[in-house]
Parts: sequence; C-alpha cells; structure tokens
Amino acid sequence: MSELSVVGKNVIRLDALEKVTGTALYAADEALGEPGMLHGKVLWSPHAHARIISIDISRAKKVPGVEAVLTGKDVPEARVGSCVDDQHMLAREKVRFVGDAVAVVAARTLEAAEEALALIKVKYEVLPAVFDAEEAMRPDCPVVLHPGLSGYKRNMYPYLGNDLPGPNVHTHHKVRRGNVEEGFRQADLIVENRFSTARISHCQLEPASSVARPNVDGTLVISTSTKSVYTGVQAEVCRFFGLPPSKVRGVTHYIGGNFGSAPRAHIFAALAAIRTGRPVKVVFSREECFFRDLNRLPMVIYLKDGVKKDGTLVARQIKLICNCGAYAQITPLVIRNGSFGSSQYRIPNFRWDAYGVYTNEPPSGAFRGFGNAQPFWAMEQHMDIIAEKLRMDPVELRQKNLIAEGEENLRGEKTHSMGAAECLDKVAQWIGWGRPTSQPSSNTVKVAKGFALANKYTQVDTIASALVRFNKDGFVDVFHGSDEIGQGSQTVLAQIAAEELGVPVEKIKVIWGDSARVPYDHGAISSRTTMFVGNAIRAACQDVKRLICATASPVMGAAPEDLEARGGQIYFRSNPSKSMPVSDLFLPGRATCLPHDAELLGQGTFFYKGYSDGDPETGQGTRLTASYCYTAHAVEVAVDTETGEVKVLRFCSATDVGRAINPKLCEAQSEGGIAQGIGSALYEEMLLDRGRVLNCNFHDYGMPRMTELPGNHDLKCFLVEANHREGPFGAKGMGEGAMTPSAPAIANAIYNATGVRLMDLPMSPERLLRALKAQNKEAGHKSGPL
Amino acid sequence: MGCSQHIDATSVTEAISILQSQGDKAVLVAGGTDLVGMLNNRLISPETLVNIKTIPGMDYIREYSGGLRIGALTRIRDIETSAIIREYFPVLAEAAVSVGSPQIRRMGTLGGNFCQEVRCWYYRRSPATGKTFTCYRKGGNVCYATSGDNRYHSVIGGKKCFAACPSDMAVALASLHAHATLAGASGTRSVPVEDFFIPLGNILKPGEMLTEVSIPALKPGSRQKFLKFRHRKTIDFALCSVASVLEVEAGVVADASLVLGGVAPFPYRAKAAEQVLKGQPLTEDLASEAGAAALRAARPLSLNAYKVTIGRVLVKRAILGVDM
Ligand SMILES: Cc1cc2nc3c(=O)[nH]c(=O)nc-3n(C[C@H](O)[C@H](O)[C@H](O)COP(=O)(O)OP(=O)(O)OC[C@H]3O[C@@H](n4cnc5c(N)ncnc54)[C@H](O)[C@@H]3O)c2cc1C
Repeated sequence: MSELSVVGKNVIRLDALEKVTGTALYAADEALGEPGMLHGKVLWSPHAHARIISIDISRAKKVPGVEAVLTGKDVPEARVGSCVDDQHMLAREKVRFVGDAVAVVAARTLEAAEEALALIKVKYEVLPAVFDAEEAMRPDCPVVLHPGLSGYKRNMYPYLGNDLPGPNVHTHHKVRRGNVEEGFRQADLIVENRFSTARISHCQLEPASSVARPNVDGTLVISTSTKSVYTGVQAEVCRFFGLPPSKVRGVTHYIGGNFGSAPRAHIFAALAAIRTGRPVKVVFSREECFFRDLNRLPMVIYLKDGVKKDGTLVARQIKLICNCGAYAQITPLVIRNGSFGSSQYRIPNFRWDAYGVYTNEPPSGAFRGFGNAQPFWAMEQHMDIIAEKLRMDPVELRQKNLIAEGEENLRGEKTHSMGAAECLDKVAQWIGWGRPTSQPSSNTVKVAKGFALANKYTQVDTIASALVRFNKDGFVDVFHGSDEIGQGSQTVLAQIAAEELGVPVEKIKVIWGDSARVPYDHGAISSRTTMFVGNAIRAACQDVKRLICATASPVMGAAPEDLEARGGQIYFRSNPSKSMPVSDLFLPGRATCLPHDAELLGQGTFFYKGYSDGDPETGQGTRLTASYCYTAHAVEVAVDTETGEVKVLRFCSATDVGRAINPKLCEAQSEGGIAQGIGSALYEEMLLDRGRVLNCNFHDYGMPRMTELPGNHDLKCFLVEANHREGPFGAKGMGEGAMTPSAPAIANAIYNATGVRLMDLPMSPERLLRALKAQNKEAGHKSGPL
Repeated sequence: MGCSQHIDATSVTEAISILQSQGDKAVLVAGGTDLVGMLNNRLISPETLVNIKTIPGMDYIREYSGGLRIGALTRIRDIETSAIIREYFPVLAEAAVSVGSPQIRRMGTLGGNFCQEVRCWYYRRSPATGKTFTCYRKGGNVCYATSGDNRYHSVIGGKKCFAACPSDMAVALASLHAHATLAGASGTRSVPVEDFFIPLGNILKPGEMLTEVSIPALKPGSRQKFLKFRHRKTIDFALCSVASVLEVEAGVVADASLVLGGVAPFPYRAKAAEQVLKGQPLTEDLASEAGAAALRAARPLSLNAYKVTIGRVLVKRAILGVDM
C-alpha cells in the first residue's frame, strides 16, 4: 500500500470544538420551549410479578393540562420485541418486573404529568416471582413468566427456540465441534468450575430522551438518544406500530454514550404522539435508566476444560445460564454472539450450551462486548488455573493454544488478521511479566501481576451504504447512517474519505443522524462502523472518482481509465504533471462542463456476500463474523489482605485493531474500556431486592472514579495492527473488545497476590475477605495436627 | 419541588421562631447539598424553606482557651484548610478532606453535615422507581434492611432503624470530645457530639437548631488519626471509619479516645477499646487487642459482617498511625 497521508494520523475529533464549547446538540436539547409540546411520563410497575386487576385513570385524566392517559388497552394488540415478540408496549394482563411499563401520561407540563401519574390507581394481584436464573430454568419451576412462549413470534434466529429445557427458557444456543467426551478421555488434566457475573449498568452519561412529532403529512418524526436511525428507531417503530418505513423518520443528534444500552424512550413518546397528534417528549431519569437500559446480561457459567500435560487444550465444555429478566429483548442474539470469543484458541472438541432464561428482574441486553466478556471471565481464569497446575507459564500456555492465521477455528471459519500473539507479548513485556513487582509486598499488602487475553468479533450480516458529494469548492460531503455515540466515528470516517479522495480532512463534512437524509446503515453496534461504514464510504469515494474522470474525459481529451482524480485535481495517469482542478468541471462557457450547480455524487454499499448463518445444531459455518479484534490486558494490583481492598497499580492493554485509522481515538477507546473493565471487576453490580434495583443512582452504584484508575506512567495502551484484508485500509472494529479481558486479568492478579480465586463478580472487599478467611481456615486444617 | 415559601433568616431567633410556628412544614436549608436530594426524591415536601446562610456570624473557627469553637455555617472546606485545625486537630482536618468531593465540601456546612439524612437505600428510594419503602424513619413499622440488603448498615446499636450515621465530621469531633450547641426558643443546651445522634435521627427537638460545635483544649502532642474505608477513594461515604486521639507518654498510652463511624447509627465510642489501651505500653499487639475490643459489641446483620473485620483492622492501624 502506498504511503498514507490521513489514515494513521491523530486527527483532532471533528466534534471537539462543539463539545468543549457546549454547543453540541443532544436529544434532550430538542423542542425546549416548543409550543404545543407535551411531556410524557411513564408509570412503572412497583411489583416484580403481578396480575393487573383494574386500572382507574379517571382522576388522572382530570388533572388540568393532561392530554392523554394511555394504558395497555391503547396499545396494539400484537406483542412486540427484539428477538421474541413477548411484550406489549404497555402491560396488559400482567406485569413481570419492577419497572414494567403500565401507563403513559402526556401533559402540557411535566408537573401535570407527574401529578396525573400519581393519581392512576392500579389494582394488582401480586404473584409469586422468581429471580434466580438457575431456579427459573428448572422444568418444574412453579413461576412461569410467559405461559404463551411457544406461540410467540421470533424475529431472529428462530432455531434458538428449539430444545428448551423448561417453561421459562426462551433461548438455547448450541455449538458443537468434535466430541467432548472423547476429548476429556484424552486429557491428562481436567479442570471444572462455576463462575458468575453481575448485572451491571452502562451508565452512559446521557439519560434516554426522545421527542416524537406527528407531521401533517402523517409522518412520525422521532428524534432520540437511541442509536441507529434505521434499525434502532425507524424499523422498530414501524414494526411496533404497524407503520410503513416511509411514515417514520428517525433522527439522532450527538449521543452521550451508549455501550449497548437500549432504553427506548422513543417508543413511549411515539405512542403518546400518535394518540394525541401532538409532539411528545419523554426524558428518563437516571433511576429509570437503571431498570430500562437493558443492563449487562448476568451469567452463571459452568466451565470444564481438558488439557494434555504439555498444555494442549483438547476439550472444553461450557454451559451458561443467562438471567435475561422479564422479556427476551436482544438477549438471544447476545447469547448466540457471546459464543464467538471462544474461537481464539485451538480446541478440537468443544461443546457450548447457553440458555436464556426469563426471571422477574429488569430485562438485560447488550453491553460493550456483546455477551463475550462474561464467558471470558471464566475461560481466562481457567487458562491460569491450568497453567499453574501444569507448572507452565500462563503466557506460554496461551501462545501455545492460539489459533493461527489461516487455520480453521472451532466454528469453521478461516482465521485471518490474527494479532493476539503480539498483543500478549506487548503487555507481558510492559508489565514486566516474570520480573519483580513495582513495589514489594508487605505482611498485609500483597502485590502481583496478572493478565488475560480476549477478543470481540464484529457482526457479519449487516449492510452499510454511503453517499459522497464532491462540491465545486473542493469540499466533500459524506452521508452515512451510523451514529456518533462518543466513540469518534465521524472523525474516523472523515479520515477514510479524505485518504481515499486525497483531500485534506478539513475539507470533509460528515452528515449523519436522519433517516430521511442519509443512506441506510445498520447502526453503531458490534464495533462495526469503521469497517462497514468505512468501506461503504470508501466505495462511494471511488464511485465519485470514477464519475469525475468520466466527466473530465471529454474536457481533457482522454479516456476515463487514463485519468485519475486525487486531491481535487484530475491527472493524466501517463503524465501526472498535467492536471486540471475538479472545480474546472463546473466552469461555465465550456460546452462539456457541468451545469454550475450540478453535483458529483458517488454512492457505495458494503456487505458480505458470502456470510453463513451457522448450522442451528452445531453453530458451524464458514463466515459467521466479519472480523475479530484481540485485546490483551496485564495488570498489577495491591491487595490489602486485612481489609479486602484491591488497588489497581498499573494497567496495560494491547489491542489488535487491524489498522489504527486514528491511533489517539483507539487509545481513548482502550482507556475507556479499561475504566469500565475495572468497574466491572471490582465495584459494579446492580443490587436488587426482590426485583427492585436498590442502587439506581450514581452515588450508590459503584462506577470507578479517577481515584480508582491508574494514570500517567501507570497506564499504557498499545495498538497492534494485523491488517484485515477486507477492512478499510486494513482496519477492523475495536471499541467493544476494550474491556473484555479486564475482569479475568484482575482476578488472575489477585490470585497471584493472595492464592485466592474469586469466581463471582464483582470482586468486592466483602467477597475477598470471605475467601481469604476460608483460605486461612483451610491452611489451618492443613497445618494442624494430622 | 413545590415549596411555596423561601425565607432568608437573618438571625437564629428568627429561624427558630419560624420552625416553631410552622412545625414540620418548615425546614432549614444551609448548603443544600443534602436537602436538595431529599426534596428531589420527594422524601420531604416542606412548605417553607428557611435559608440560614443569611444569618450573620455563624461561619467561624475561633480559638478559646486552647479549644476551638466552630460555627454551624462553617463550610467543610474551611475546616479542611484551617491552619489551626491542621496543626492542633489533624484528626478533624483528615475527616474533612475525606468528605464527598471538593464541590460538596465547598457547599456543605458543618451543621448540615451533622443533620444530613442517612444514606439507607430503602429510606432514600426515589418514587420514580415505583414503590417507596415506608420504614420506621418514614413512620412505618419495618426496617427493610434487616431482611433485605444491609451490606452498608449498622453492626452496632441499631434499634428499629439500622442505617449508619453518615457524618464523618461527627466521628472526628466525637473523638475530640466535642460538644454541640443546640438553640431553641427557651435558650441553648450543649450535648456531647456522640449523644446528638440516635437511631431514628438526632435529638433536635421541634424548633431547635444546631449553632455551634466546640472542642475542648487538648494536651499538646496527642497522636491523632482518621481512617476511612470505602469502596472508592472519593465521594463515597464510610463503610467504616475510625478517629483516634491518643496521649502517649514514654511509650505508654496515658489516654485514648476512639470513635468509629459507618458501623452504628451514631458515632460509636469504643469504650472497651479505650480501656484496653489506657496505661499500657503501645505495641502492635495492644493495638490489635484494642481493635478486637472495639467491635466486640458488634451484632452484624446478614450481609455486613465484613465491616467488623475491617473495623478491627482500622482501629489497629489508626492506633499505630498507619495509613490505609
Ligand atoms: C455525593 C455526596 C457525597 C457525600 N459524601 C460525604 C462523606 O463522605 N462524608 C460525610 O460526612 N458527608 C458526606 N456527604 C454529606 C455532606 O457532607 C452533607 O450533604 C453536607 O455537609 C450538608 O451540609 P449542607 O450545608 O449542604 O446541608 P443542607 O443540605 O442544607 O441541610 C442538610 C440537613 O441539615 C439540616 N440543617 C442544616 N443546617 C442545620 C442547622 N444549623 N441546624 C439544624 N439543622 C440543620 C437541614 O434542614 C437538612 O435537613 C456527601 C453528600 C453528597 C451529596
């Protein structure tokens, strides 16, 4: 590849100025003071499981300023959902979690809406509830959340509804390779453990917000903080309300963080707007975000590994029980895609059974890593356990089992763009693996290092389109349908366009966030924007270059193939010293020129033609993912064995991004991932009391703060570039991989410091003290009289 | 929030008379850092807010015969940075710097810190999340924490309510044998700081307010330490804290004052531990023994036994003057 001039450079974020000056618009800024706008508020179920006997809205309707009080009777008959249609927009016969939506009020003031909400009288018959996924999974579980499950419509991967072992199980995902029983017979060592992960919240800074406006032409315009104008907004609203796509327009502004949250305030705004014919705004409080955002899917993980004396993995069996909460939402997909991570190692015999289970807890969903961080919590601790038992170096054990470029992985895919080995080496070297810690251990404070390797795939079965307009002043407009959720994608996409067109990045304008104005994209999910939208933009740039050459051909007297458009000039390929500015194509007075205000418009679309769905029974396929981003984390911790406190002293990540289009932004993603990873490892857990979230605010919920994060010389993020042949300039998605190995890396370090292995998240002082106590007792037994 | 009236009080007498005439329909507001959260979560809905920041002369740190008087309107930040306090009462400065965040310390006052509400998540629950919990504190007849998630609640001295006293300032001030001055219609009274707090709140009678905290003179050269254990090093309240003030002469503990926070509905004076220390040569073993004695009275709930373990360690370390 020739020298790159914009790609690989730390271009300053295009949105930096707007954001630091406070002029950047967010969804909640919409419609402030707009005349006629109504405020929507939702009444949430106070019970984890109850039958609705009656709803009396008569007093609520009388509150001055109230325009509508809507209940289950006012929503479409059909159930809706993401993967499984298991839910009415407003509860009809039953509520299934604390926070299930029961009614919507739309009023001229927020105060009136709140007053009316308090006057809605709902009579409930409280039903027994189930909160534990393993209990809910039992075939004889007395509480059944969805007796009609077998009749529910499935919108995605219907085979996930086969072989369900109990009435509360909505998903069973299988992967089969080789024969695990046979593999375990060959093994010299078998390791088997149970792990669990906590329910954690995305805590994106911007709480969900949406304004729905019915237009006089019958179009519903929905502006929202939910990402993906097409799939997240338009397609969903169309399906939920039975509207054609031409009648729904999705609009997004800057989005204040996402991390996979899907709060859907816009569904309630849309419902109230349709019923009142007025614009309706719904803004969730932080508390509401906690139970409506679709938190990270908690899993119980039973892992069994078989390995040869020399460290060769021969069999892995993994059973996951996932607490999906009261509605399936996107969890079947999270469960299915959570299986991809395991393909980083060569494992000839593999068996995966993951179950999605209904419970009376708030519904779960996607969270940075999309179901992969949870299995890694177990798998990457096992690698260390195995290494210790075999007296092998854990880095070496991992290196030995890593799948290689070109090799078929355990899903049947050909491995490509495999930078994991280099990631491992980089972090091991920086942390000083095998060398003394940065500070010595004392009697009470033990210092040690640990690490883990993980990855995150990018979804293959999606589409991106883009339009590129080359303006006569040399500026370029790039239109695409993905969102700026804070990750910096607009900047990266501008860099891709600038590189492809050979123009400075300052001349690129990126336009996004409106389904009426930008071409289709699947959205900012699955770390796919750089790869998919980047490729679509690149194709559109190539298209516009072809158009420029074709237009210039008669002017310059050369065949289009003999011309090249680059940097706003059109060159003769045979003689690059002879050129003409693209702007001259618009010069009047020339017979062949473009009309003065004509456009040079290119378009591009990107998708994988050869992807495979995967065999429903074995999960095997040839192309199940677009790419894998590998991330290794190494960490040094200090554990106070008397108080259970864990301090993260030093942290290092190395991430194989294929190609860093903007290294600074990749590092920023890595740093953010580390912060979130440390949070998930040590502090964060949504605490529920009989289904109610207790710590649903930023005070009680334990996000790490600057004081808990290593900085300056104690934090290092390396980028590894195993170019991907299909990525734009070799790039692949990287945002989600950034936190997948953090928790097991920290767990491994804690073990190395104390000899205590924690298998449940988060690794709080309470848990650590309990484990240390148990260890002492055991040691006491051992050293006691025989 | 819907308060109908906001009065800027100009004197203690005026503030008290409004409180007396309006009963629980009026509440005092100082920095508002706690009160506004209470109003937002609809935990109280007073008709009148009585702003006491407008009362002149209640914001001071003043020496008197070796001791110190601190006005109720003194901001935590001023306590943290006061040269006198740093030099003579470092335990108090250390407690002050551990409070909340710089913003909260600049807004929050000493009086508000004493009178702030507990952080129990059942009590504090916002009605936005469906049902609220009508517990003892709200006039109900249950404590939801005893049968629920009580990991942050009291291990000592809970009665009806098991929420832990949230004030770090009170813990440090109790270790300095400080007194709180309460003003009411019929004059003022003075109570030891640790007696100010009771499981369901504090001993302020209707129509009373806190005007001052006074610290008696202290023998020079005392060893002071404030240690606070919490999940995160900023903003979080204490899961357990210890303030220790020791007089050590020739290696022997002549006098000891040990107060724990985060473990009881009030600053808990560990008398048994003080007894263990007095008259004994200060050694690591003695410090451990005092740590064990300090929490002997603990009766943990289902999820907070770890506080006992941590409390013992904190007491030991505070006595030895070791940092966390
Ligand atoms: C995020 C956060 C973190 C915090 N962390 C800590 C911490 O780590 N440690 C800690 O100790 N505290 C902590 N706090 C509490 C903080 O210290 C208090 O909110 C603050 O000191 C209260 O002072 P204020 O002047 O703002 O009181 P206000 O909010 O104005 O009042 C609080 C209460 O006290 C009453 N009141 C105020 N002054 C008087 C008076 N003179 N007489 C009688 N009643 C009065 C008010 O009526 C009200 O009920 C934290 C608070 C927050 C919000």
